[in-house]
Amino acid sequence: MAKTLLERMGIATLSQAKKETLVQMTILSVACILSFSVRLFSVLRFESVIHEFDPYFNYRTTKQLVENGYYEFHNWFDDRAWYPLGRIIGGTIYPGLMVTAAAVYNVFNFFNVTINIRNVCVFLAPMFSSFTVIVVYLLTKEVKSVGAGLVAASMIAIVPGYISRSVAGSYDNEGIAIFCMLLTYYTWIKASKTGSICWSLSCALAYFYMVSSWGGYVFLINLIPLHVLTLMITGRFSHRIYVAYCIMYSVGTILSMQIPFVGFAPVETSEHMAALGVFGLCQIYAFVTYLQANMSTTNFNVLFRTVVTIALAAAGLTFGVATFLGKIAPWTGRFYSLLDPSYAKNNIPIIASVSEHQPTTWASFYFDLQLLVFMFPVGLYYCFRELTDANIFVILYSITSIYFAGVMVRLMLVLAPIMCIMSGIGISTTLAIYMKNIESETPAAPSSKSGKKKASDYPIKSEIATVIVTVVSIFLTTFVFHCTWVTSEAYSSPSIVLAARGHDGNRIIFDDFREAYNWLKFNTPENAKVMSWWDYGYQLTAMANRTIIVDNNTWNNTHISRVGQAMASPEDHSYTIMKELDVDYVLVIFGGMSGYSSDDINKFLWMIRIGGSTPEGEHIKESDYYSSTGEYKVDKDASKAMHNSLMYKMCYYRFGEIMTEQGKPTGYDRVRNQEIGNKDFELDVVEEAFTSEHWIVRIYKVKDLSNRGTV
Amino acid sequence: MLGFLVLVICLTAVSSNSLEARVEQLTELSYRSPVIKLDEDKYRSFIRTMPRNYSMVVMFTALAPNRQCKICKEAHSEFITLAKSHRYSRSFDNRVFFSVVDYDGGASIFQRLKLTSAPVVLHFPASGKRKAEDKFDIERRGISAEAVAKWVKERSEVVIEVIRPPNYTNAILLGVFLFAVSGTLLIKGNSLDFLYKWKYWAITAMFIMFAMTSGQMWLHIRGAPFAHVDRASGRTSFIHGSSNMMFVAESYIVAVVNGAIAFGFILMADAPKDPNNPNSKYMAYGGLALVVFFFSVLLAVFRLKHRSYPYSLLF
Repeated sequence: MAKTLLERMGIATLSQAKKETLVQMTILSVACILSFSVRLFSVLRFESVIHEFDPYFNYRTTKQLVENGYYEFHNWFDDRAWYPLGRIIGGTIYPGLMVTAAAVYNVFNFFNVTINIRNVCVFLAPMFSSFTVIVVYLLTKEVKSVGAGLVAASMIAIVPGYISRSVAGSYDNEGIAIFCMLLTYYTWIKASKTGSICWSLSCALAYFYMVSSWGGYVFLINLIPLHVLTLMITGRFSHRIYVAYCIMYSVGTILSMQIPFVGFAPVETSEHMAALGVFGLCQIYAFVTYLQANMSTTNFNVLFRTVVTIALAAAGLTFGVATFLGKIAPWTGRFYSLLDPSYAKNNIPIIASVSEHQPTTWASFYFDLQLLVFMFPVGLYYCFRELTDANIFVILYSITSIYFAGVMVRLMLVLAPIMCIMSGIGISTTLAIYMKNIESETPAAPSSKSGKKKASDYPIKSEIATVIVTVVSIFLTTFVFHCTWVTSEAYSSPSIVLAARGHDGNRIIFDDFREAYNWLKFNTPENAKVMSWWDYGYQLTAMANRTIIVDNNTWNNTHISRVGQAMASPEDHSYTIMKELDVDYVLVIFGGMSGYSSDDINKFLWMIRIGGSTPEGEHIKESDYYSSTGEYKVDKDASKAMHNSLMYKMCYYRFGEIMTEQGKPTGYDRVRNQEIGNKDFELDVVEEAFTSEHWIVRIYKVKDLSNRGTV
Repeated sequence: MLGFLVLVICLTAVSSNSLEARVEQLTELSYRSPVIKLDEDKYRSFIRTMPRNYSMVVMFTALAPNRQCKICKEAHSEFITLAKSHRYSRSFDNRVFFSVVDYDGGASIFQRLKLTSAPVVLHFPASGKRKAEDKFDIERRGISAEAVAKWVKERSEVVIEVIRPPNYTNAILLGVFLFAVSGTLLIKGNSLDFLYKWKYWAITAMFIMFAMTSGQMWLHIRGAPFAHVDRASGRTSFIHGSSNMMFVAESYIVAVVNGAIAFGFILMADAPKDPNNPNSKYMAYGGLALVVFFFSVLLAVFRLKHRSYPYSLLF
């Protein structure tokens, strides 16, 4: 039956090579489709909606780009955020993502496929993850073999470490940046292998795309020079590398400087100096080789020593003078926090408050990568055993990225692809060895590679081979199960729509955020200013279209601190701050009713810390907000400062009248499991304007100044 | 009447004189060393004698090696950093002085102030009585010079910008390293083959790998106890029950388990390499056993952290 089917399709008559290609193509397309569809959990469970916080900003800018064209977008000054300062958008973002989405949108619409811009945004990340699958296949094929490439491609399709940032709806830079990064690596390896100008230019273009889409390009522009340097040290430097690197660096740097946000950074900041240094070194190396070929050995040695001494001295002097004159920018905070892990924690409260900047536990390594965690060293071992230029590159990539992933959990994303590549190499090597042994029983046509050594290579009987292949297959199956489970459990909630299970097992949907944002949109004046903690800024501007005080682009610490002070101070003091900032509405997120744990009371400590970190916030001291035993509480034991803070009052206003759980007193906070301490109070300077269905979002209107002076 | 006036004038002169003299003495002392060592007498004359127009920030500590107070040394060096920053700053004035009282040599001062632990940092204000806030809260604010500076600013309104002396340790280490490298280059000459042996590099790389995947960096940044001993039951738990916390012991377990699985795989894949080796069969089986067993262990350990994790292999 099978045979007839094959014959009918004309496959049986194909040559061996064509059959192989067909199998490869099939596997690759299945992997692509799988990588797209596994990311659709949230769309199927909820609806086609954009997730979280940053994507809302990206969505808003993309809409601006599509509606008003590139120049409007480029020159956009946003007066709806950071009131009263405003924010220059065009020059402070990486435009790659928006341009890509707009391009996709325009292409579809050109062919009269009228797809909505929001849907383009929602499905962009899954689409690019399919492209990533192909690039990973190509890259691994260059490094090792077709087999390893297919295994790696199948793995990257479903690895949770990558899915976490590229599910449908997470419309963020990382979604396309990983594709750009791997594309750059692929073209770089091609360029360094062939030494062709064409591939080097493609590499520069890919690098440009990468720079335009993500700040993580700094990793890339340090990794490639590191590769070149390593090749130099190991004596593998050749004209191919010279051509590839010089073209890539010079064209890539000039292109990258066209991004307004990057500007002159590639020639000024220290993150980029390694690349420049290696570029210089390449020229010197090539020149020295040229001299060596044309001079006698003794003359050359004398010349070499003198020049090296002078050059070192000059370099040291220049560096010193430039640093002293401030020409070379100091290490920027974010980059420095990677090199010295405890830097950020001690120095910048905002960085410390973002959970994405936390270090990684072994559990989250396992959670995000499962068997890759231990297949990775296996692949590494095989790379070391047959060192080639390309292998050295992936080894360097793996070691540097695992270091960074250890420091910052967010950089798991950069690690995931190389984990897949390495594991692909490891698994494919193991399988390739034993698969042959299974085959060897049947006198099948030998494949082109293994034909020669066949007789001597198979000392192990096929039973063992069968057992081992079975076990590896079981492992791979557990990987698939694990990945699907993790994706479904952890990475598929849009966080703007929440879901929970009720007592009877029914699903309860909490759609409070959209409810509240829409209320704002339809019930407040167009120019109303809304104050909230910065987490909700992007969502507010994108969905409610109202002016906000601070948002997730945390560029102005003192402004955020001012909002923190308003939240943490007692009412009368807050009122002066709110009037100073011209606030009309205040929005707080409250979980005490629904059990939503990442609400403002839980974030309140950070507001206090950040609020107290500037001179204006001197009256705010963290210790005042703890109970007498030094705990963070909201019940009777909570301190006076806590009970009287605006945040506390706005969250718990009239909460004391409510029964939240059976058998518990009224005003029982279900997140902190405490009965609130201050139940009966009135608000003086604000009045309740709106509370959403499950009380998650509460909006208050700031009262006008009373027209008669208060007594 | 005249006599009384003269007496008053004399008294004022004496007291102001002595105040001036004391300030002068203090200034001189702090020129000599930024942190003034106080003994019984100096303590009495500089702090207990009342009209003062300067604040004193005093660290009470126990620096003698036999006291075995590690934190005291750290706190002391931070304190010196702060005092030096003040002493060498442009805005150095005599509104605030830094001093230190060592328990050995000042035990009676400790007793008088009812201090039972060290280190303690107290602020003696220029005027008025000491308040509760004049005791620096080491537990909550830490011992860093910056934290103390902030507190000093709150208490005495003297702004001190902490300037840390550049840390030469790294430079020295780099120097030693470069020296070692160039030394090896000189001695070994052309036989640097050992650097080109891939095995050494592979071992180093794998070492980094296992260290990272077992969360060593997390431990380095956050710090964690080796294991947890439950007081009530007396049982020791090596694995933290939450997935975003961990113990030192735990990371070693995970590193070993990961290493064993990876080793098992390499054993398995390398078994058929040497066709003449009669043990290759056992190598393959051994590798397989390692992989299956330790993978099951890993799953079991992970289930301890993620209670709802549904998968297991052998147990």
